[in-house]
Amino acid sequence: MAAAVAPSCDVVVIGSGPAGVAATFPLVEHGVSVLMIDGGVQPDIAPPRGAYADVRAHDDRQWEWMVGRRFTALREMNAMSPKFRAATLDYVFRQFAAANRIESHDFVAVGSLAAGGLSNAWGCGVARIAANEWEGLPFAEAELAPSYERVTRRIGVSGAAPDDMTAFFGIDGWAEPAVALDPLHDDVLRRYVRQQAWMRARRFRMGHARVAVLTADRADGRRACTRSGFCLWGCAEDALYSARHDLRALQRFPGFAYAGGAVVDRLERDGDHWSVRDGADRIVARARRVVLAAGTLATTRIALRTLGDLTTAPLLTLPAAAFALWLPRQLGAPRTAAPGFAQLAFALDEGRDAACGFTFSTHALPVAEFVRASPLMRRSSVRVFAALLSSTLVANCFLPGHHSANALRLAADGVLHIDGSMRPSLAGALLRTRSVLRAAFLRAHAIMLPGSFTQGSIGADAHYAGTLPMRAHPRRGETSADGEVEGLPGVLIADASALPSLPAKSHTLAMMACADRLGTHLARTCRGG
Amino acid sequence: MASDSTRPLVVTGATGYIGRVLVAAAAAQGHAVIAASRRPAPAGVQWLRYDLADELRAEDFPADGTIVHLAANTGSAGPDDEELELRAARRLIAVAGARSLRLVFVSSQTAQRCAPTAYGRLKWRIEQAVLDAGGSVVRPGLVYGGAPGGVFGRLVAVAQRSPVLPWLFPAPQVQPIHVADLAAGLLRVATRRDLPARAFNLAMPPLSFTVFLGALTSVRLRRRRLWLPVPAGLIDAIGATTLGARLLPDAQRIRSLLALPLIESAADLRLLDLELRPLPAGMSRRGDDRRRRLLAEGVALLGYVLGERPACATLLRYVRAIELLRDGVAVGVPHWTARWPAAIALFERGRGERELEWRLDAAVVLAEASTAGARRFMPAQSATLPGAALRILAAVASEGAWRALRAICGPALRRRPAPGSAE
Repeated sequence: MAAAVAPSCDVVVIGSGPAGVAATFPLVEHGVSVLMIDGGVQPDIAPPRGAYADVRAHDDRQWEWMVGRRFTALREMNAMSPKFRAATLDYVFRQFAAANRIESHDFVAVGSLAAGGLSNAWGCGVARIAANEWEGLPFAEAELAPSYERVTRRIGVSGAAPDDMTAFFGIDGWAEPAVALDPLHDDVLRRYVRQQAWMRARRFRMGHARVAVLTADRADGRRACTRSGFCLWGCAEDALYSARHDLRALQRFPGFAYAGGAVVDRLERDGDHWSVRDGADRIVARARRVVLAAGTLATTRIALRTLGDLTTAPLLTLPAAAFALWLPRQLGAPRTAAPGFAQLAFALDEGRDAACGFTFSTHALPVAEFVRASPLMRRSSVRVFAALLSSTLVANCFLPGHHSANALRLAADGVLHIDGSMRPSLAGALLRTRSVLRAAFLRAHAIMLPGSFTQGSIGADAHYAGTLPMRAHPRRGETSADGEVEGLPGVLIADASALPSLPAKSHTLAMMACADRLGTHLARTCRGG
Repeated sequence: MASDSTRPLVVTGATGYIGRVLVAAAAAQGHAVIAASRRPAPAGVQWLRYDLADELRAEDFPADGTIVHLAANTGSAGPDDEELELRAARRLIAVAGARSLRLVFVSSQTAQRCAPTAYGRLKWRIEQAVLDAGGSVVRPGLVYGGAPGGVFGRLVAVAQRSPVLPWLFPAPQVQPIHVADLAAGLLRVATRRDLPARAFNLAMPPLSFTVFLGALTSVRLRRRRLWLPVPAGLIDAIGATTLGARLLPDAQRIRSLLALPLIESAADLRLLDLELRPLPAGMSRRGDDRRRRLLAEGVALLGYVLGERPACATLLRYVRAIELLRDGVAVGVPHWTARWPAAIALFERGRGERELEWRLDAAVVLAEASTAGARRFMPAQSATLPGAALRILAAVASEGAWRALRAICGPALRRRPAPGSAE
């Protein structure tokens, strides 16, 4: 089916995630014809609808989304993030590593065969990576400003507020105001503001999280956040952004075609065209230009398979940790419906020791998540956390990607091996981060629960980048400032594989801005040639 | 243990209650089975048409190997029929001699020279003929379990139909044996070359017929029945009359059942290295109590987490999860924890690799994902300061109490195999 469309398209885009759609919009808007290919996996159960407490109290079929017919919540019991346990998101991650022939060691290899890719399970944290945070970006960061604006306005971002995080996020000009904080977060932010001088002296900043969530209904069917709390399981209102929405919008362009259900293995030069071959060696598409946006791991495998002579690449990931914060003054607070996405964001501005993080309501988190980590017996843990959670927040935090030292290697049989490891520098950085965070939150009357600060498994953050980095003077296996892979003329990288560095920040929006810039340049080339 | 699975095994009565199970078990072990029966053998098994009344041709039988003689006349017994069975046995003895086959005759617990029933006396006479010819005899107790058949099939049918069951007094004693255990025993007698040719008793130690019928109704049929006290002598008296024998076609069998002589089987079971499954396990449809134990474990673990008996749907989900994601076998917490789930605290050992810890975590996840879980995990009462503080204090106090109790009971609990440690 794909092959039938192939001859007439100018560009094949592999992957329908945020990078793929962001690169495609400028192309189709400039009249370039695009065929988009992805794994085509669709959700099998809808995310729950209604208010969390209500649904939990009355829905006899709640196990279908909490545990899942395939017992997703039990299969993934050891996974760090509760997202992997959400039965409604099972389809997002399903079969990715097997279909792409990825074998990992001490590394959680995350990717997606779903239409819309990993963004279906995205926490929706957005930020602009500032010029001084990039290392080795081969063009002026300011060039990205129009792309940031286009992407931010299209996906719908809220959280703009004149607070200490305005500069950190750098996108308030294009974002809607923040949704109201829940009482716990409101309490923490007020106390932070009261202690601002002390906090700033310790280079700790806090403010509203900027999140890709809608605060007003849209004409395309996406609706405003209803604070249902179900974010973890996917948004029934489509208020949280997913590239799936953009895929829908793209399908209205006459030059756009979409073919789901192919997992691409490699490209093959065929005159001045590229043939796109799947795992069964079938040609699924053909075009002069191919944009790889299959997600860092899959994209890297396709690029290495196509290059043929290159077998290793670096792989940046963000070291991550999670912890719980208890607000003693809120003990016994009534359970209030609260959104499940990040409400507050914080950053430690320590140069190479920088860190950033987000805090979340526990209102709609399964208590089992806490029981599993508690030192008490299960029965007592259930009772303790049942009483404690209405005064508890959870938080995550990310450290910069330069701490990671993962190795990625393509074996002769086509299997991509990933070995996860972190540099020795990380241990110290984590300890310093923990102690600053503990002190700062204590100042805001939020106690970091003892023993709750847990380092995440390597790779489970799913912030992968830097395997085929953009360089001013790219070597084989690196990419040019316009995203073209050195050694593969006409093959461009739109996803995070091409990001040259990975600061402690949500990198999705920056990746989308780079993809938008790449699409814009490519559109010009296509029309010119 | 010398055994031989390459030599052929002829099974008469191969389509009967015991025969079906024996043929399947023998085929599964790789024996070359010849099913000798009136009705055709199941697919994949060689069939030899056989009737008790038939004259036999020795050439139809393989040379070397064993004949297990299960065929019996299960209709009402008259003097002619008795002679029929005896003649049939003599023909098989002759064939066995001609083809150098071993002969194993499956007799009955009732077989005695002076048995009160003709059935028992007949079996004794056949036994003597077989033993005299150098064959072996197996005397099973009351065969039960598996697909209903034989006496067991009739008991199942009666218990299924009748809302009232007789509570016989004085209670007759029965010595059950599960049909699959009997088949395993028969295979050993038939194929092991190190055994003497003699009679083997295969049965459990005696237990009351009422206990047996109770297990049949509660485990097999999962029903409750009214029990009506009936003097055992009454049934016996009815069966003894001509009219009674006509009204109750199985009268002879039932009288036999009620007048079973006790047999001593422990030594034979040891010799055959045969361990009989417990009655509740054998009574379940699957023939073991794997699922029953898993359900009990689910009641204990989910009840421990929930503080109340889990809903049926939650319990089944637990069983399904363990069957799908783990080995499907109960981890071995004591059965009484199903009645007193709080005591699981004595076996919980914090977080670790042990299977029990995984199952406890799974129980927490499954228990929470229910409306009962919502009440327990998101209680409205904790939405006040005193409410929340009290609940936390109570939980911590109970944690302390259980830890103290565990420290005291520790040595006693450690003597049993630690649950889940082997997995």
